[in-house]
Amino acid sequence: MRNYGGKLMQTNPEFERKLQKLRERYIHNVAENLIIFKAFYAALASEQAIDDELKGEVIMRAHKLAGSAKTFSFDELHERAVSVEKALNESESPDLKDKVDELIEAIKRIKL
Amino acid sequence: MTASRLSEMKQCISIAADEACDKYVDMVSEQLEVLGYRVIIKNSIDTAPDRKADLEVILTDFSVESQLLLDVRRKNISTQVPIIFISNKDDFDAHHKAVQYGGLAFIYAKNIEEQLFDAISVALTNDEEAISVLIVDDDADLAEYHQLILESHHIEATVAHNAKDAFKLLKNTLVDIVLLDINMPDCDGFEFATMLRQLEEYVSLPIIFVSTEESLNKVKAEHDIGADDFLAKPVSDKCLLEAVKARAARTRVLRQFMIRDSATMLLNHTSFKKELGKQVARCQRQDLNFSYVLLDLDRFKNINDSYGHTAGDIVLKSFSHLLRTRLRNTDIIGRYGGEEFAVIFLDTETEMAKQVVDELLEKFSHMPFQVDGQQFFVSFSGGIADYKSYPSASSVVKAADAALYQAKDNGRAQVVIADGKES
Repeated sequence: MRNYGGKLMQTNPEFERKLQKLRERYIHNVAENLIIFKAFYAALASEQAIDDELKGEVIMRAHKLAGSAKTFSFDELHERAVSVEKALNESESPDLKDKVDELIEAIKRIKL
Repeated sequence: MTASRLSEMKQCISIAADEACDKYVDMVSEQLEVLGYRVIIKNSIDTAPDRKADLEVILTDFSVESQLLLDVRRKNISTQVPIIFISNKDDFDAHHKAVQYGGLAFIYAKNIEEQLFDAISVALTNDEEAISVLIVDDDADLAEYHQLILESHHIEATVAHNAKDAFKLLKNTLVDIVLLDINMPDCDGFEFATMLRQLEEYVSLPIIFVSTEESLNKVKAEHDIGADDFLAKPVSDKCLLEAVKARAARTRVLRQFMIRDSATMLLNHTSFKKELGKQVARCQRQDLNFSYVLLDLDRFKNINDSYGHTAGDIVLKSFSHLLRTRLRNTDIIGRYGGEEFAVIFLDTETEMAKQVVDELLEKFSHMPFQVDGQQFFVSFSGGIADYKSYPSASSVVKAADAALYQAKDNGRAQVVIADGKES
């Protein structure tokens, strides 16, 4: 089997099957973030005031991705999510828009 | 439940002991034989465990050099066979050496009479209850991934996606460890941990916080929190398993001390009553039944008076051992106090429970106890009531107690089923 992110090796076929299913579901769920991140990117691009609720939602989702992506062996997605989360927690982050864009691209790239 | 589970299951124990332990071996084999075990005594160990025996135990005194001690040191025996070290010294070095050789127990020679039987009894009980972990994380994918990893290593794991569900699960299941995410909507991990620490039953429940490094640092800096460990996301499988296993082992030991009676290692009165409450609730919810059995050793005071308290202790321990090893793992056994014991037979009708207890009585009352060359026998009386006829904790206890009284009144050494009427 693939060695998921330096994880313990498993050879049990039942385990493999369940893991595969979880990964498929994870990819599906990650893709559902796109709509929010795209909306946030559009708001940043328009240079208008950002809605607090939207910002809160983006922080929460970036935080979640930062915590889970590496576990499912999506290292690049993990890095992108971490940098967006960090940028959002800083008072000023001029390249936030680019970072969000990179995160969107990373989400689009993930597949089995 | 099959009635035959008490019938002939003579277990064979092979004890390998060095010469220095000979006198202890004689003492303990007598006790074990009374309980119906066949004991084989050897002076050496082969590399492969004795296939004829259900259990092998090694007794060795490391204050004396022996071939057995040399073998224990050279071969990696402790992974296959429980080793009990006996020493004339009770100092740091002696304890340290016992641990280095992989000993299951260390007994100071002066305490041997009280402790050796217990140590062998623990080795026999082979308590391999799975560790149970509650994962609280609003990220369903991650929670289920951790659940999968734990379960593939034979650790039971339940998932709750929010604190409220976790709280409900804790009330209904026995959980050894909580893996708690910090960033959750409504009630976050920090609030939930604080809540649990304010409740007596969860004060000692190990909580491992699992969150991103940033969140963990924030929590550590801002709060004096009752956490036992912190795991930074992403958590590697290895770290997850190590943290859980290390915590679980310790919790198990502590919990045993809290919930068990130290002399018999059965549930103490308080924990047994709690367990009864839980079973009443479970049976109410799922429309199930259980039989509640109250057992009382006959004329126990006479044993203490005639043969001394040590004899009384041996009888109590032998009886508890019989209950522990001869009943099902799912049966709940408690020491009610003194010479009174109680058992909850889950999903069992009174007739079947009586059959099992009658077999126990047959076995126990034929066990010869010996003190200073004098032989004596002990019997017990029992009262049985079931939840269906007495649908509350207090009424089922009261009915079993009345039935026990009836058994005593009828001449002891018998088991009586409550008649189904409220007394």
